[in-house]
Amino acid sequence: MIILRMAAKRGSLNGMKWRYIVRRLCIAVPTFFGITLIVYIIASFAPGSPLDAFLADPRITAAELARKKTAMGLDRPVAVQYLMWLKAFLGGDFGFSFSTKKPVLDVIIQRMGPTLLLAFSSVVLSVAAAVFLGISAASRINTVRDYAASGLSLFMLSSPNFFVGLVLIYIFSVKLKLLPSNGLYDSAGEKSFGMLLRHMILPVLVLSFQHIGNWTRHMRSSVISTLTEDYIRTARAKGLGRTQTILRHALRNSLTPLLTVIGMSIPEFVGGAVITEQIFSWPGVGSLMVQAISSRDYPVIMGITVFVALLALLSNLVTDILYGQLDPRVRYE
Amino acid sequence: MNGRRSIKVFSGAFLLMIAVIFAGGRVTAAESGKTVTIAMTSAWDTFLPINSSSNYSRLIYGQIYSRLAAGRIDGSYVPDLADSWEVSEGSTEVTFKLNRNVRWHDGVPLTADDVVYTFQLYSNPKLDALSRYMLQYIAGADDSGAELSPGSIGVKAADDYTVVVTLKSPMFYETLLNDLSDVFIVPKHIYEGKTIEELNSPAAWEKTPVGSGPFKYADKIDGERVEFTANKDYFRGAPDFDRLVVRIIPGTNLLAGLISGEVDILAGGGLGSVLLDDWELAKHQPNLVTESLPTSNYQTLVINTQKEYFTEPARQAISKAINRKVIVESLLKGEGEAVITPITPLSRYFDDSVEIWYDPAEAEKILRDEKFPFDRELVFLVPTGNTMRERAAALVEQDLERIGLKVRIQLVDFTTLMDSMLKGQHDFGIIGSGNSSDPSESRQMIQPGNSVNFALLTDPELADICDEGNAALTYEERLPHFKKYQRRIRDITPMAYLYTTNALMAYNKRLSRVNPVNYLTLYWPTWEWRVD
Repeated sequence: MIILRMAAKRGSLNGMKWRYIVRRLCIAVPTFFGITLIVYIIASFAPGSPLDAFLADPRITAAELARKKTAMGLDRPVAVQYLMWLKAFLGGDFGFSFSTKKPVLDVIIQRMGPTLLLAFSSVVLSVAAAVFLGISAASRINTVRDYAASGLSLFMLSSPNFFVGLVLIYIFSVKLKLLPSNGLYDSAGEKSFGMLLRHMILPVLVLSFQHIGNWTRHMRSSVISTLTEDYIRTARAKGLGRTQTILRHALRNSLTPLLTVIGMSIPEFVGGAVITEQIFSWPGVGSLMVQAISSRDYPVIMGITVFVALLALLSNLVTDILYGQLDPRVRYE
Repeated sequence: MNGRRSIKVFSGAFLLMIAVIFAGGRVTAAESGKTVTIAMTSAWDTFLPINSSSNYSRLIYGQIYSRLAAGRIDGSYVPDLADSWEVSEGSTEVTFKLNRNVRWHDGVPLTADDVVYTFQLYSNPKLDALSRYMLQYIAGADDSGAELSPGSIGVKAADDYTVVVTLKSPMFYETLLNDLSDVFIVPKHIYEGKTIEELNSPAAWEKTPVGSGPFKYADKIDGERVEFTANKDYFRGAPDFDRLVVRIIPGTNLLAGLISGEVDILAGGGLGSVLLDDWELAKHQPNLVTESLPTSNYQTLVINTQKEYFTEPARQAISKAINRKVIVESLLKGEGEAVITPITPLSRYFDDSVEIWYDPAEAEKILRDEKFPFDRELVFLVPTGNTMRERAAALVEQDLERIGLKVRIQLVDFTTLMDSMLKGQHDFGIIGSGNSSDPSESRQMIQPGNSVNFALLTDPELADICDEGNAALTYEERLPHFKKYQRRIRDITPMAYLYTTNALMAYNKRLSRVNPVNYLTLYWPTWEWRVD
């Protein structure tokens, strides 16, 4: 747990930091396995089984379903199934997908690339836009610029992803025919980086939309709070212009609270980009998760859970550490 | 770096990025000339053809591989690998004469040995083969299609280009062809000698699959697309275009893809059709050809026959209370047809003398006579994912409430629906089926003990009628049995069959000789397509 306290001795800070990290990692281990257990139980007790997904073809025989059931280990109690999964996982084996028979690790790694590309681009765009809009609003508080930036952020925050996605596809793909509406590449032509960038524009915009709105509001209030500090008043009294004061003195301190919000949102970008990936046929982890849940593909569900849980735990830890780096008043206890 | 310089650097980087994006080329399918893009709404599962129950996968297999014969919507079969076939006297053997000009994509000739090897491989019980049932009628296999002993399946090569399939018992040969039309032949010289572990590994089938179909596998992005290049040596004629791309696109975006030119043609039927809500818009697009194709795909209201209050007269009353005409005319805007049995007007076994019921007053009277518990809340399970079906369920609910029933719709996902119905947790459920020219397609759903008998019917009468029909060896002999089946299934009413839906097909005008009607039976003759 991080608390704000003036650091008395710089020397002891590093030691405290390492102790803090080790302690956090120790807490993370049972948390991680707790998450896997809960997800396995929920998935297993959800109505339906992986075999039901095969019934889409009613001609499949009971004998074949029985063979599948045994091969998948579904004839054993849920507790045994979980322990078997856990044992394999601890040995580095994520198992095989029930529906595609491929190694789960390969499947997830393959899907992770497009998801990380989308997530990283969206974080960069969201931070850039939120910082710009937040500062614009806070530096001219209660003016038209503030109202416009705040109104825009509220609009973005309250716009559902699927709706924004469909509107953007209608405008840029259907009407203007400027941007592609799905996939990583065009059907025709050589696959190139430029082609990939064009395909990324709409999904990145959609994935960033709500985050820009949310983070702009945080940034605005943070900058407003920072601008009331004595050192800002001092800087202004020394004759520094408003823009220079904000960029040189207020920006860094205003970013610190935003960092926590961003850090908490990272797992959302990776595991929660479900709707965006579905709308734009983006072959990432989000769309994989939807398929896995609908077909009750337990090994894939568990594999994605592992990745997202690890990412959530690590991003929280990294956020806390960075928080301390950005604000020297923060002490680790 | 001062502020002005930073702005210049960032502006430069931004312009460079825009340049890269647009220099990267916006090549739409329409501009590229010889690439055709098919869109379907869900991904394939595996590249091992016999281990899939997915029609999305079968679209992919149909491009890479060939089968002995392919089915058409009118119930007839067209030659594929087999130029012709002959049924022995007594219907115990079918002899297929193979085309002599077929070569695998690597240039090796395809012979009867490949066909025999494929059937032996697929019938090996150690091979993962979800659809092994397709071999169930062949001698030397058990009811699941697995061989009784190694190599026992009754498929033999009479010579290099003649294959003889021996049947367990005399049967109508088209029932066999219906199953064999989804058995894709794989190359012996590629897979012979591999261990069963290697054969069960997806890598063995998807790295560089060698087939004999109109297109060669080129590349794929899992969950997004499969790319093919034309097989210029295809034995039925080289395709008119160089590349085929099968892409996964959600149903809500299919029309947008067609209008923008990113998609050339839809996979059709349940694999990818224009949404009914988009149909008027699609019909007015200058770059598209649209066709509304009647299908045998139907929706049916499943009734839990194990509930004591759903007696046969009560089930008939439920069926009589539903105004199918309103569903078809108002909800489907005429793009479908009302039905009361699973044998639809497209079938040559259809009996138009079996009238569609609608008499709510009579329905209410029957229920009162049956002392139906009107105060009981009836659970109606409705699967999500098909908007029209959800709306139809709401109309059915209204019709049932109009005769005094209390119905509570419960939206569930498809897997939950299956599970709940098999456990008997429903009063009603709604589900789709069809997509076959086989008049006994619905047999599994009314067969006691079957894993898709969602009505939980225990009376074997209907399944027995189907079996009697299937045992007859000619169409003329089969017809009376399936006419009887239609009358009895309406009267017994394990389900209230509701309506068929048309496949709303659209494709770019630059394509011709597309003939999409047969896509509904999983036959996509892409080598016949012409591209302007």
